[in-house]
Amino acid sequence: MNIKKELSKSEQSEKVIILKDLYKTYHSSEVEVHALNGINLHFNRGEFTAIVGPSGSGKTTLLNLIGGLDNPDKGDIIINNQSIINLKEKEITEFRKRNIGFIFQSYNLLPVLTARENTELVMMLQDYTDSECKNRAEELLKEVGLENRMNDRPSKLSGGQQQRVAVARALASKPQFILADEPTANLDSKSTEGLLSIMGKLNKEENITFIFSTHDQRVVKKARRIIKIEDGKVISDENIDKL
Amino acid sequence: MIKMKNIKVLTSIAAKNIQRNKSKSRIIILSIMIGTIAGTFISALMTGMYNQKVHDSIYTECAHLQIVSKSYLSDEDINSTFSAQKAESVLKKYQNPGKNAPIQAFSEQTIILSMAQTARGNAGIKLTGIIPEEEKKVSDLYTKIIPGTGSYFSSKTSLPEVVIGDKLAEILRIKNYRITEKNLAEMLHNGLDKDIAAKLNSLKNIRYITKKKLEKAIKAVTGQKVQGKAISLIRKYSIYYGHMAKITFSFTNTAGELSFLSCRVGGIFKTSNTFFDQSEVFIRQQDLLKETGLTANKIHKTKILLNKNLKPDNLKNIQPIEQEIQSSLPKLKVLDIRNTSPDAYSFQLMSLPSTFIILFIIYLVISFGIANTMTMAVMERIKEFGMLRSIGMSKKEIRYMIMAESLILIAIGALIGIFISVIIIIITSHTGINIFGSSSLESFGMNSLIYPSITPELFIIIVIMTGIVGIVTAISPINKVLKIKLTNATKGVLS
Amino acid sequence: MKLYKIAFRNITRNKRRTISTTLSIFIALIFAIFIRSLQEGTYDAMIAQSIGETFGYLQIQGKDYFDDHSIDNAINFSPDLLKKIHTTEGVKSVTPHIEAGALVSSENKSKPVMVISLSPDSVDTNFINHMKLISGKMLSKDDNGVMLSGQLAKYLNINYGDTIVLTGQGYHGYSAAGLFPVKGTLNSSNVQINNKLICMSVKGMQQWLNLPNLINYIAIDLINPKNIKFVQKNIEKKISESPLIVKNWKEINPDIERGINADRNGGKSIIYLLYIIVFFGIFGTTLMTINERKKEFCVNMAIGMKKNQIKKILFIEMMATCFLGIILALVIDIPLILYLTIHPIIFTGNAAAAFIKLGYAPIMPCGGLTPFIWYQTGYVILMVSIAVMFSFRKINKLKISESLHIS
Repeated sequence: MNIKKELSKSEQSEKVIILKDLYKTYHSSEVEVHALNGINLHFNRGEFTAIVGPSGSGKTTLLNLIGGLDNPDKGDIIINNQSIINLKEKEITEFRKRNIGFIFQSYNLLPVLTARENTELVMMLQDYTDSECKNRAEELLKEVGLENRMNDRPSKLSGGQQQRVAVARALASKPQFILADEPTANLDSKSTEGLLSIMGKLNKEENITFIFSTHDQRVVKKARRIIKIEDGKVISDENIDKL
Repeated sequence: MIKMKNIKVLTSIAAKNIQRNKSKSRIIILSIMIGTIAGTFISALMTGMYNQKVHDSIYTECAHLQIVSKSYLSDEDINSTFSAQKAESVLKKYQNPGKNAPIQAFSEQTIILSMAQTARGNAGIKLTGIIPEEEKKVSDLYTKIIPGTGSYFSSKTSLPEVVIGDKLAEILRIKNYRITEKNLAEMLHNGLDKDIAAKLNSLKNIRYITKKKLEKAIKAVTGQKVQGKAISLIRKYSIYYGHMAKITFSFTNTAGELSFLSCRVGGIFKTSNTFFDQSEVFIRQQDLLKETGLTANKIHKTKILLNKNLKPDNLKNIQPIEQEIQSSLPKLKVLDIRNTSPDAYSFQLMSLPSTFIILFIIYLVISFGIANTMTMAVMERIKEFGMLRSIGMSKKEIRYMIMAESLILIAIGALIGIFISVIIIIITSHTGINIFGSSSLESFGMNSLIYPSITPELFIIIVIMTGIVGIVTAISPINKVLKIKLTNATKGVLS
Repeated sequence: MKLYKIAFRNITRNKRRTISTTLSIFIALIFAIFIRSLQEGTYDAMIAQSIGETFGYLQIQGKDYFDDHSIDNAINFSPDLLKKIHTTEGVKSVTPHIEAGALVSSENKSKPVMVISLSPDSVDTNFINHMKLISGKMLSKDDNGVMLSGQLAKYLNINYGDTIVLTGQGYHGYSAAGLFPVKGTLNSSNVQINNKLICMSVKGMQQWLNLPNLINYIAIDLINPKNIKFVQKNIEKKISESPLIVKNWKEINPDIERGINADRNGGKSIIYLLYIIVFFGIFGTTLMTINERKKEFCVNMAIGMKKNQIKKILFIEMMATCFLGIILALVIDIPLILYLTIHPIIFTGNAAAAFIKLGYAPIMPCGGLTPFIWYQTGYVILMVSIAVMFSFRKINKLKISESLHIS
């Protein structure tokens, strides 16, 4: 079932992320790992993309580069018409704060803060006022279905609930796109269902771009674009939207 | 700079993180607590020790200032005198009873170097002629007369009266030992072993001229060498002093002739300084005049005690008044403890630096342990820090958070530590404390019973050093956290 | 054998922890050894100057003299006895010693002084003169003159060739008085008596004090002061049949020993405190190490390693770290101590005055490589072992199932 939103032509063709010729090699003490060997990709607004591939294929590396957590050896990364590879530390941090949301496989939340406080944290680091933080945090937690668990610490939440808080937190700064590295790897099927439905909802209603790196078939099933990576190269790129 | 409201949040996160790992936090708090208690207490101990030496030197022996003639300073000759009236007229100007005048009191002294001789011993001593009522105002020696040995110049004797020290009494064999019914009972009351006490009965009422003779006799009766508490008790309670013992002093008078003066011991004092006790003898000035050829107006030394309001134990505070007096008496020399008691002065100088060194070493050793613990505690959470950086926390903010953790823990430990050590210090500053076991410092001229004290400067040093420990121990964990690549920190298990 | 390999490799794993543990032991030990060495060296120097070189580490006295230092308790002066004592192992020199308090008078000044006999170099006694000649000539064997200490001569305004009067208490109540020509000035190593010292020949003193061939005691200097008890015993054997006794300086002057003990105890207390702090540090560090490597230990146990073996590995790791700190401390301390033994710290100014007032020269040498270095090292090793073993209880509590749960 394809429910396409009515997008303007310019929006449709807006390439939010452009990856040009990316190469990345890791040098550890004995081995050289060629994580990415010439990646050329672009992502549009509102995509729900899964990046798949065997372990060591470079999925996480790709996500790290897109998110500005690391720099490529060769190539360029252009986000919103701005190249980010030459930005300074402070600038990239700012950029990341405002435009990108991250969800990791684990350790997304500070265990000493409640769900609400964790969500507020991101906004505190920016220029939101106290009341804005509070209200938006409540709103977001409601959206992910956790209005009754707002004052619980992560130790009191199930794995799925923790990841949902992670989503709320990732959304707090109104990012354009969310990068998720194996977000469902530690969850059972019920939690995965719940998590994916929320992400899908957000993707449709708010037009937020979702890029996953994943092994999980359930995520792949829900994705509308599937990029296969092996040995640092793109071997296939299927876009259901375009079909 | 980090925004104010962020500081509140970061601090609260730091505080919550501290509660998370209770055992590590406890270890850090305990370490700094022990260090602070140790450091504070030892510093107070050392300060108390040095202060006491200075205090005794000033208030018992030398007073704050002394006036001598210039020639006396170099040759201590009997003829190097100056006019008492002249000095008096100048000094009276600075003295105003009841008001805040700098000089509290002054006294005059006539000093003769002489030999003291009794039937059984002799010693070279300094015979000082004083006016007892005046001398009492500048020296508290009169409070240190051993009970039962007489008084400070209120005995009635036909010969001139002198007051001597306990150590001199020992050297001159005036201090003897005798076991009596009465003191044996006292010894038993204070815990003397009943067997030993029974054996001592056979020694009752025999006079032993020296301690060694007594101990020899005890060994003969008990068959063993009595030691420890028992012997201290016996030594303490069997002392008695020959009543009104006679001493003959020999010296040369102002004309260069050998002269003699026979006196009786009116009282025996004991200070914490054995050297003082063995070499100082006091006599009424008027009793000296005839034999020495001196006149009442010609004195060798004036001792000046300054008003406590000046805080005169500290040399800096008395320089002004010292210079004023000196300029009013250009032909004489005004001296302070640098000359009159150089050892006390050097203690005063050494006090702060030496306590600082001890504190430094203690804190250094603690810092290692704490830095270690902090680093481990932080490394445990390395993934969280990675996550925080990825959501946009700046390096400054992370640095602040870790530093805040360290400082909070250390502040808690230090506060508890200071609180406990202050209580200990307050208690021991009243009761005194002896850390030297059964040995004593008296042969070094110091009291073994120490009254610890803390000065404001010491306190500030401790607080500052604690703060430095807090900051320094946070450096290692901060560096570790910030050095880690973001990607390492956020890597999942499978990637 | 394998356990050692594993242990040593583990040390390099966490360099930071190893280094900071090593450093804390290093600092505590280096301080402890240095302070103790300085203390002992200073005490030895103090004793040597004030007692050993002037009054003798050991004294052979008459029985009664020990209890009562009266001149009436003098002993016979026998050159044969002196020779006999001198052949005893460990004895450096043997000196007949007479001392008396007196009043010295020059033209118009007088002062109480201490008069000590001075024996010149003699084949019979092999006396080593610790006095330093300043001016004039040293006294000859039966000299009728005196020597003054430098300060005393200055005070009395006396020079070579002048005459002084000495009055004192002689043998059996004899009023000793005499005129003596001044032959020169000297200084002794005992700083405290240097402002009131007069030296006379043995014969001169016997004449002045009316002592018929008697002396107060025989002063004995030692080759190595540490052997004092040994030498004392040997001498005791040699004089067991005579009415004489031999005493060491501690017995003669117990106050000084008490003072030294007090100071020593004070220093030791501070060092013990430091050790306690290090103990806690090691204990805490080991506990945390165990915590951190819980998983690793449990994996090891799961594949068959016994708890004892894990404890052994951990023990070897901590002890190796400890030894590293010890070796570092010794490497720095030993040369430092040796240097300061030969070139002691010298005080000036007010600190020097404090020393001099107590009668000691203002120097602080170290005590050479004496046993306490090893004692301190031993304490540290003991302390670390105990700290580590205390934390072994935690290993006992480890449950495999708990730690291997993937969280």
